[in-house]
Amino acid sequence: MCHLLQNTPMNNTNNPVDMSSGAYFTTLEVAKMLGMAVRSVQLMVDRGDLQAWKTPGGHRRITRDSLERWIKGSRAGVTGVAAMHGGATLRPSGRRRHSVHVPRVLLIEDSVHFQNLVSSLVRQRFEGVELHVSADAIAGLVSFGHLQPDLIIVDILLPGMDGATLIAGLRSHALFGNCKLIVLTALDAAQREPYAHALQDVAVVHKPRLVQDLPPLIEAAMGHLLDDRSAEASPITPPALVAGGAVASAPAKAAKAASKAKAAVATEARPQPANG
Amino acid sequence: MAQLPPCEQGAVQSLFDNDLALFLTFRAACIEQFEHDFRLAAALLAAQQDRAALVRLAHSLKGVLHTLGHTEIGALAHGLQVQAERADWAELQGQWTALRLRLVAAFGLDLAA
Repeated sequence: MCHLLQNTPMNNTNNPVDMSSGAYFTTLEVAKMLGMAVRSVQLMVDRGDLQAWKTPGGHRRITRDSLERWIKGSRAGVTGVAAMHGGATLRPSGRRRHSVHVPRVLLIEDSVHFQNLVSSLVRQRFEGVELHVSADAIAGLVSFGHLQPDLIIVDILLPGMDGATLIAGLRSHALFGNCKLIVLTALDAAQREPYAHALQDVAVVHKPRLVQDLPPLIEAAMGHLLDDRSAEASPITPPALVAGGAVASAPAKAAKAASKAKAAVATEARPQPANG
Repeated sequence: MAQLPPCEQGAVQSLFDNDLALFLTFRAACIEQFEHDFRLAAALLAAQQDRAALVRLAHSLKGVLHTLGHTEIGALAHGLQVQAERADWAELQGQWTALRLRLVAAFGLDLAA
């Protein structure tokens, strides 16, 4: 069973847009996004680093534009900030903890076409994996802070933030921990040159080869979690209920994925997803 | 399988590991999404303001078309992606119209957009 949670479909004009992709964020959302304490974000607002307005109840609502400007202007990247201000309190592992760990993937991809393809693949081949989708970089950062996924699959060209900046920020984020990273792109090798630094030691999948190259990389990144879950799972596993997202199930083909994981990784993809 | 054009049959074999069901699922979802893409392109070209969004749309279509085996039409999408950064809007409208017509013909679309 695979749980698909569509957070912010972007160029599908029929879909509603949730707050994560809206014009404003709460201080808690921004704090999670930047790996900072809520108080630090409040101080940034008070200093004028971020533009915000207050609700009648006194809660700050931070504008998306000012957040984007601040992130783009931060040479330290998203995480340098967390280091400066003191990051969120982490468990020793730096990861979320559940009694039964649900393997969680965050896809940051603006193309609905490829959202659909990745969703189909995960649903078809990875039983028990929870897939969340964000349609732009800022929404992706918000979701990353909320979800603390085990694996992030991210497109290079995204609205809201340069892909290299996003990747660098994610990899050095205070909450990144052992999260794995896979990059999707339709750019060929020459076109990726401007992103070479951000893509160093990162598994890269060329989109036309996604069906062949992505499953082995997911298996390599999350196989141990899938194995653990299989061992722990009861014979009947109820579907997870997660607020704000649809839950879907489909026949699993874990064995197929496992066999594919052993297959040679094609030239577009490197053998191992990068650690943070 | 035999009902698919040769380029798509090639994609099933070379890009989808002969998983015809997955290919057809993806193809059907793409056709549904093309309608939204067409509306978005029409809105962007009418507004003549957001080049970056047009670049991303063309880039998305390029990747999709290559994945579906339509590399020739994908080249048109790539051309639009490159030109969207600098060409005048009338030229972009022409390029989009050419791309749209090829998409309609290749996938048997019946769209009002």
